Amino acid sequence: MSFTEDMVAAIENAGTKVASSVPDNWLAPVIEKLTGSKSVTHAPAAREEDALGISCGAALSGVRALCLMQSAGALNTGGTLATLGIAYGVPLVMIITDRGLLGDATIAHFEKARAFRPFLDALGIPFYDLAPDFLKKDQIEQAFRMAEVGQKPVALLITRETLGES
Amino acid sequence: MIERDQAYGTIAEFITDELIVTGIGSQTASLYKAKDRPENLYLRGPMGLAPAVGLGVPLAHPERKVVAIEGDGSLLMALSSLAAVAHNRPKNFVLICMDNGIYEAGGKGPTINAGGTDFIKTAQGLGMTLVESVEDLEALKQATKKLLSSPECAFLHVRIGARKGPFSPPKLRPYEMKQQFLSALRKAPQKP
Repeated sequence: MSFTEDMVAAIENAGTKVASSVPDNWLAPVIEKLTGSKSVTHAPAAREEDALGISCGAALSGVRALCLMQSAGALNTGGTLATLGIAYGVPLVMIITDRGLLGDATIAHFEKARAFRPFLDALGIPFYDLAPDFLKKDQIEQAFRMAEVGQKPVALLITRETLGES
Repeated sequence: MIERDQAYGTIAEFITDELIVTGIGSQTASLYKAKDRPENLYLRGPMGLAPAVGLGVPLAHPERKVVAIEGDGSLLMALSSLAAVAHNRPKNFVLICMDNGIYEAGGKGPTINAGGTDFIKTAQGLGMTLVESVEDLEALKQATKKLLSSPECAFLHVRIGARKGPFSPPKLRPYEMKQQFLSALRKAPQKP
């Protein structure tokens, strides 16, 4: 299957009930396919803080919820992650495209790529790279387990390597 | 214009099993004072996100009526969250904007374009179809009754005055509020 099909299957297999998103080039096909999911309620947002808020609201009411966004938008969510995600202990999975790493040389992404992982680290948000075979490895399910054990948001990062040949 | 505590007291009269999310500052303190209950999820941060957080709850629980209450300053800070509500429009969701024209918990200065923002036109422009604006108690009673029982996503704008008296937020820590809200959700809703 393709990256897009694998991603939607992994999200569904993990028992995700609610997803919210702001797209980028890599995520747009995933979001389009997710919109047709029978098991996931997808709510698009105009701004990454809203996507994070929507999925936090769902997670705070006891269901598995995640949000999808690019690193640029994630960098805008620092206050929300601190005062909501961490302060309330929200067991949430964030799927974030980590743009601007090796193999993704674009001027729009270059500088934010250097700030992004230290930003997550400074907030105490655990983050993990998604492997190309993330579906087989059940990595979204594993991320939910981490978020639930730790009672805090966990980030899964999509890099050029995650996309494989697709 | 309605006195703040009276506005919250009036809305509280109509609350039965609804789940309620309140915005940071005055909204959280006012509902806490008017009708503290486990079904209230009080936000202590971030500013402006009660509509978004509130929107997540009815998406997760389409069987429950959910209300989010936000102030005008907070709503202006995150108008995109109103766009998200208008776009997704869950039938079981009511968003209330308490508009006093000031940042009440942030120094009491005027909100941008204080009193001059037409929140109804804004909500309609973003796609909301069921909208009401009220400025007196009787109208608030009628609108609350109507919108809480409506099978349509709704937006209610309430013109209120500044708070009188001390500011007393909930004593619980955010983590404890989460646990309390989750425990209430896991119980069957209490019918009136």
